[in-house]
Amino acid sequence: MILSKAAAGTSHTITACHSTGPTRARLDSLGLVEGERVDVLSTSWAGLILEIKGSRLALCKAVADTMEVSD
Amino acid sequence: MPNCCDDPVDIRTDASAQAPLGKPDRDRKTFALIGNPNCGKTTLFNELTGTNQHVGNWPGVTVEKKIGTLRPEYGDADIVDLPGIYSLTSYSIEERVSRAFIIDERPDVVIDIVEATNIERNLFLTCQIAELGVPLVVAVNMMDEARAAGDVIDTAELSRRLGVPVLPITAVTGEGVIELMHTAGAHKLMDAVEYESTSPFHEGEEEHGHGFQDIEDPEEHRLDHHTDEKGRTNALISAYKYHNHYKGPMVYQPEGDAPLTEEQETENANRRYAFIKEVVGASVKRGRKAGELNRSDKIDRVVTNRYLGIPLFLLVMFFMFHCTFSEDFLGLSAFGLDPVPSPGVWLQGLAQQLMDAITAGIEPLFVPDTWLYGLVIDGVCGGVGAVLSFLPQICVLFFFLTLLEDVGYMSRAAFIMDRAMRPFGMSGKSFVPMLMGFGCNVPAMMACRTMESETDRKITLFLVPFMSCGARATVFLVFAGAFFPDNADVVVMGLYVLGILVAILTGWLLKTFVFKGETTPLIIELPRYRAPHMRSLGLALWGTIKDYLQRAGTIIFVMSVVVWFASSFGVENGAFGMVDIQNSLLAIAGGAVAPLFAPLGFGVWPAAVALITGFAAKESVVGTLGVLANGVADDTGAGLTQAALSALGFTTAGSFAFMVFSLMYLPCLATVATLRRESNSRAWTAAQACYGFAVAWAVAFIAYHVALAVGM
Repeated sequence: MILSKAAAGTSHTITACHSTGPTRARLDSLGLVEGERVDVLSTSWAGLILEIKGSRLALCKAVADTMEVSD
Repeated sequence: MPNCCDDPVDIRTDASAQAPLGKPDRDRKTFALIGNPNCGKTTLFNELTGTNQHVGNWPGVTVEKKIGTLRPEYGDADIVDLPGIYSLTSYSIEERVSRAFIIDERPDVVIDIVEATNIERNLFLTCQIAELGVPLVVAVNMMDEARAAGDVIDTAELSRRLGVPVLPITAVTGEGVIELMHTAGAHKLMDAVEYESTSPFHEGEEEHGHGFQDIEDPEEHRLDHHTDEKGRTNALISAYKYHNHYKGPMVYQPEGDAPLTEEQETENANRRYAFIKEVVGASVKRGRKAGELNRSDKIDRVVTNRYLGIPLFLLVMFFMFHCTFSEDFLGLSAFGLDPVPSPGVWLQGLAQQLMDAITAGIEPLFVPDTWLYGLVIDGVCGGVGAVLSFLPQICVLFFFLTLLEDVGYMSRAAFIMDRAMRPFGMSGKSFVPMLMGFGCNVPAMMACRTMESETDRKITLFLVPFMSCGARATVFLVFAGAFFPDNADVVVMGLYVLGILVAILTGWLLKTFVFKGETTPLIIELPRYRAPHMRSLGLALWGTIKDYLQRAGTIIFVMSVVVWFASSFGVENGAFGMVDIQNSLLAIAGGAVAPLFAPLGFGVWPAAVALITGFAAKESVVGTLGVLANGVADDTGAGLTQAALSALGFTTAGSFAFMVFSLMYLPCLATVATLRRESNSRAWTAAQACYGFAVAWAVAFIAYHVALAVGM
């Protein structure tokens, strides 16, 4: 499923990332790469807040739409 | 160097990929400080240098370059604070600058700061630096927070597995900083030790290898002193082996100027993260499970809540303005009690009294009605004094903005506002520079450098001048205080909001008609909430005060003198000399421009003159009016009161429109110059100036007529 559909409090593994260019580079450097485990801390109107590798990242919905995750 | 998918290069064995030790033609040791945003780099830099720091620019680009000298207890070296970055790829200017500095300037040691509570992500940058083969020391910062969270970090194990020295520090308390600097400095000694294996220098040096102070003349140990080319290469390799034994994975390296392909970059990232996972797994024990909420997350539950987020943000903004501008801080007048002023207004009153006392003190030294008296008392004291008396309020405002940034609220604000900005084609990332614009437009424009998208950056640069800076606040303070004393804070906040609305609308216009295309999506780190660090706050505040005083002493001083001269001299009865203000050069010049402002309700020459001098610096608007008020109403002597402003020709509705106009017309010269530099486009700068002027005129026109309609 796509990441933007994930509910708060759930944990997922990234299976694919469809963004390109600078956005992709930024996601890579922040550790949002295939095979990584992410925890969804909260979802809101603005997007969602993830925990990855101990840091908190806020992603807008458009980015979360490009990422596929599995449980 | 080969660069092929099947044959990744191991930089560890490729001597040509390694920058030699410190630049040979430099006479002082130079350290570089590098790390992720929010890793506490600035705190460490302040701790290391105290006030021995200055800000410049990187050559060719306009990224801020902070250089300092170590405090004596930490050793003797210059230290360069590189911009906070997540990676050394070259997508943003800041990444390019940092990379170029390390490769071209060859700092003697790179000190990489890693946040203890966020170690995995931070080590990504560490790997990239280590791959460059430079002498590297890693400082794991915020050990106190890690301990509090129950994390156990084995820095010795980290060091062993990474292959570079790793030291635990807490920059805020200074814990471990001495040891860090000794290790960084000790590299020189270690060079010497390693050097021995290839040359007969300094026998037995390792016996007391604990600090660089032990070496009388570090130059002696420079590898460059080795004349024998083969020996030099050997020494170089062994030296590197000593302090950068990096054990990370092999990665693709760019060949010449050709960047890596996206696939290669992703593959590199995967390899680095796989390595980091292994390293961290063996050396860090987390006290808390992933996904479990910490205190910071719980605060975020409220702050970034879908319903509460935006109202809370507005409340924070209101509180900030209320503290700075309100005459009736606690709302006591509603109960028939005497109002208590806000800290900002109270401090401003004190400063005003101080200025008046200084003026009264030096007044007897001059003979009244001479030109010298006019120059000093009316010109300098009136103009510079009026501007200086607002310094405390600017400080209060700046204090709040710095505080919000320090505790970590600004990135939340960007996240919350992102969705609200989307319909106008902007990202929440534009919002942070715009908020900073409330302090001063110049650093706000510089803050745009962190934006990856060139289009978004250009748009944001165009919008920042609509954010009301501290200098424009002086205009509001004078007029709102004089004409709307009962709700000055509401009027001032209204003006700020108006600025934001105009900016957002302008952004929409630009995105719809000029730059069509997708807005860069928001990916932003939410740093852990932290108690503000008073020392950093103090330093930031001191910077503001210094800058303000400098401007008051230079540009505003000169403008005040010029305005005084032009308002006191003129041609009367065919002769040039001191004349009444109504016949002065200034009145004539202002009178020529004034009709332009007649439809806006302030078509009087003092207003026109004030706005013209405002080009130099927006504080000059107040300075000019201060000088002119002294000329018109000698007997009032109480500064820019409603009586004094009315004597200059301002009405209530007119003054409202004047504030609106001041908010939006051409920003000051410094802002124009910064816009020109940052956008690298004259046309863009000119477009901003013309657009700003037109919008200011139109909105002030509407504001004037609305004000008249509601009976002001």
